[in-house]
Amino acid sequence: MYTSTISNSAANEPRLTALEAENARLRALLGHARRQTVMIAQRHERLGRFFLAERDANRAAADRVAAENLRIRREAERAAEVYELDLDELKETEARQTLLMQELSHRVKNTLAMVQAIAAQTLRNAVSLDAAAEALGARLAALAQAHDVLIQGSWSSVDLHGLVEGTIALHGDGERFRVTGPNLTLGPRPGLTFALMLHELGTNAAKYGALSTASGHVAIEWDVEEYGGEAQLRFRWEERGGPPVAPPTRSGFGSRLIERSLVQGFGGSVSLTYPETGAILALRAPLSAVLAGTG
Amino acid sequence: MTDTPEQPVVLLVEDDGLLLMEASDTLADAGFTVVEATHADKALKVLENRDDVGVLMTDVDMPQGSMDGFALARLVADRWPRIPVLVVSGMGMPGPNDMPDGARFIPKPYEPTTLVRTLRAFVRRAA
Repeated sequence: MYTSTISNSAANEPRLTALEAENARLRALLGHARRQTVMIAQRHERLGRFFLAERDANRAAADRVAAENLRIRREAERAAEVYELDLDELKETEARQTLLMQELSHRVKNTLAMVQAIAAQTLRNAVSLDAAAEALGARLAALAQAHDVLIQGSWSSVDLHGLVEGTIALHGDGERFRVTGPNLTLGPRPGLTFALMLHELGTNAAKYGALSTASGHVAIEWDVEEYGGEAQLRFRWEERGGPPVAPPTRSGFGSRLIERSLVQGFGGSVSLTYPETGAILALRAPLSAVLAGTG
Repeated sequence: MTDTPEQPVVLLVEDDGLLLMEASDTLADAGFTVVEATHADKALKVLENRDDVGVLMTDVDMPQGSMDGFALARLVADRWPRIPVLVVSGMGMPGPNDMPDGARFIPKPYEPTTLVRTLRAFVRRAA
């Protein structure tokens, strides 16, 4: 508050009024300007917040997209790896299959060579075409059955029990046979040769030997023995209770196969004798020559 | 050797008993003298102990010996170059380095007449 020392208030009144009016006008303007400023500031602040929010939202969106891109890229890389592995595996499988097919072709050709040999040998020794046809058919059946046993051993081994049982099934009922021997797996080639040999023994037994009469029987037995410093397979087929037999006048396929090929092929020894009691086959072969995994 | 012997000697090497027997009979029927061996080492012993072998005929797959038929063929071609070599196998065609020069290959199973014809031609050529 100030003390006015206006002496002549009446002379100043119009000027004061004008000034007061201007003052009020200016105050109003100032207030308006202040309000505007506040509004602008508020608007700036709102805009600022809006821009910040938008910036943050954009950043967040960009991060999400970047993260998604990273995920997608990693997934693509994994998929590419799996694809590479699958491709490698496919190539490996293909290579294995090619090898298997070549191996199969080899084995089939060997089997065909055996069939050819059996046919030729049968015809050489044939007394008549009918007899030859029958003998050939029977031998091929024995060979086929031996292949069944071979396939059970995944075409790499022949179970000796299986072979013997197959022979028994072809030549008579099991009651006429006595079989003793440990479990043994032969290689494919010795196994097939053995099967043919057993077939011949069985055929002859049925025609002339122990299986041709009701009372006869066959004892089959084998074992692994130490002989001359190495492991050997000892195998025996002995006919008993049959009619008296004499050695055949002509060497048939069976005895030739047994005496020539088995001995030479296996590097062992074999004897096929015909005492009055019945035919006896006694065979010895180095185990290494006949066991599965060696031939 | 200046003339073909009446019964040329074939050294037959085969480990399968049945196939050995049949091949041996086929060759004997055709007029050959057959000496049999069931694997490479036995075959080499024969060659070391006789000098009248006219031709070698060998299988490939003979695990009992120390080498297969191809290796035997190459060795015989090297040590006994006058002896022609015939290789038979069911294993498919030989690879580029399997066979020695001048040797012949017959796939198994083979026609017996083809075998005999081939051997006779071999023996005649060597004489």
